[in-house]
Amino acid sequence: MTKITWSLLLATLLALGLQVASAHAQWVRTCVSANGNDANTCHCTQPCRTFQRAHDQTLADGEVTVLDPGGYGPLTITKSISIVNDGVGEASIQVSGGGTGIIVNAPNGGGYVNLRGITIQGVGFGGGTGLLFNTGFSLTMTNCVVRNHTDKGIWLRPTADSHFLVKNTLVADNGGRAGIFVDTQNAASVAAEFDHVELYNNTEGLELNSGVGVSNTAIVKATVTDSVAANNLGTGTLAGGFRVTSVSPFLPAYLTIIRSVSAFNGVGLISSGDGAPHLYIGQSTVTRNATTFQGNNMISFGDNYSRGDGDGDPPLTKTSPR
Amino acid sequence: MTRITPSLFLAALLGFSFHVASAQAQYVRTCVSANGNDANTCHCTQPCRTFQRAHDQTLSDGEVTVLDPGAYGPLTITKSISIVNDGVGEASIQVSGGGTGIIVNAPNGGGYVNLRGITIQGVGFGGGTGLTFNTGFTLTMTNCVVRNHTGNGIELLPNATSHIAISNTLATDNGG
Repeated sequence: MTKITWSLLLATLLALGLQVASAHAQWVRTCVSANGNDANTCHCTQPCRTFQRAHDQTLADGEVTVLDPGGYGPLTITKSISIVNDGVGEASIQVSGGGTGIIVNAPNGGGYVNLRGITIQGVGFGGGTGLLFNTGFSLTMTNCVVRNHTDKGIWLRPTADSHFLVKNTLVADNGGRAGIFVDTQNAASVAAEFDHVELYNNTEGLELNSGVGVSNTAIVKATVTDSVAANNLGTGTLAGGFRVTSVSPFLPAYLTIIRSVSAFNGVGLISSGDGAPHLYIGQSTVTRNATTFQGNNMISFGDNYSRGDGDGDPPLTKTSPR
Repeated sequence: MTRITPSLFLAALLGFSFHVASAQAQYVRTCVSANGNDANTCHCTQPCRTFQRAHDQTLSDGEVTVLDPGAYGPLTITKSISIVNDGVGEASIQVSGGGTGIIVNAPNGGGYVNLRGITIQGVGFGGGTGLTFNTGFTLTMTNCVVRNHTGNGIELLPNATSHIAISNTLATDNGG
């Protein structure tokens, strides 16, 4: 490989990156490679080996680019950042020892986090959790795979107003409470969109839970579109395909499901808690679950298919949406 | 390119992989490459050439990562494993002589199998079957292509409780 001279390096820096003059230089773009080394700067001419080191070397609002397939290790995110594998091969984080693949501790109010094409895989040896969101303003996650964790796959636990998008993502073979668990804390308003999400073989598929400490003004709402929850067969009451939970005296959580399928789960749809959770469903199919649905405030737009369930196939009765 | 010294190699092992000290070392991640060699360990610094060798070198619950386009040969799966081609190019298994591309014989009750981005292609010469699932707890198959087999494309023959999910997958031009 060509020896990089200092003048060339400087020219590259000026051309491609903003170098911040400090004891600890950071870049607007860093790179990781299976051939990288964390002793490097993570500038893309000197890629690093781990996501964590690259994150630490990246300025807020910057990007980490994956150069080639590999395992890049667990990561705690503390800033606005984009971590991108755009089809170079598997960019994976392996989770064991009760750890967590990605922890998001970005700034509330102003932390914008974007993950693309990342695989988070539990590999035994004590298991763990796929992704845990604690703080941040937004998380957008596309083309990811989160699977084989002993605990939850994606655990969204915001403490302040947060916006989520999970799209084109497979969440499978996870334990814990649910494949995707939205578990709002501390008076946060949450808006979440789940599009083209596949939820297979988890304890529960997806649960939207307005949690504890939600103020009487905060609103917790989510939509699920073009998604599938199948074979989520946890124990006891934790076996729903899609579930919404809220507890009084706080405002209810709203879960809207459109063009989606809930099949072969313990319960197709669940609304639980005494806080009047609301579940709206349209253009969807709920079939071959042991129980079709549990709970109240299950509002059908009247264009769903529900057939062949183990509990005698009760219809999803149409109720006028509020 | 920097020469990888044994100490760096060891650091990489310790950092990114559980190296199990045994006569037959296995890894939580192995890699295959068209430039690999089955005499290698399949550690991603020493990729193997075939899925079968990589599978055999991978711990249960581990991953096989495809590094570049190529044909990686037929495979019998006997454990929880994830075999992943995430867009590096075609990762293909060619089937002939009445064989089967992938046979899943994972443990009933606890075998979790995940296949992504794999092409299983019949190429004549006696034909065969694309994928046969005999045993295992789950099979999740996404972004795959199973085509041109004289037998079945995907043949699911579970003999115990099993959960199968297949999405974004093309199964076409098969007989059986």
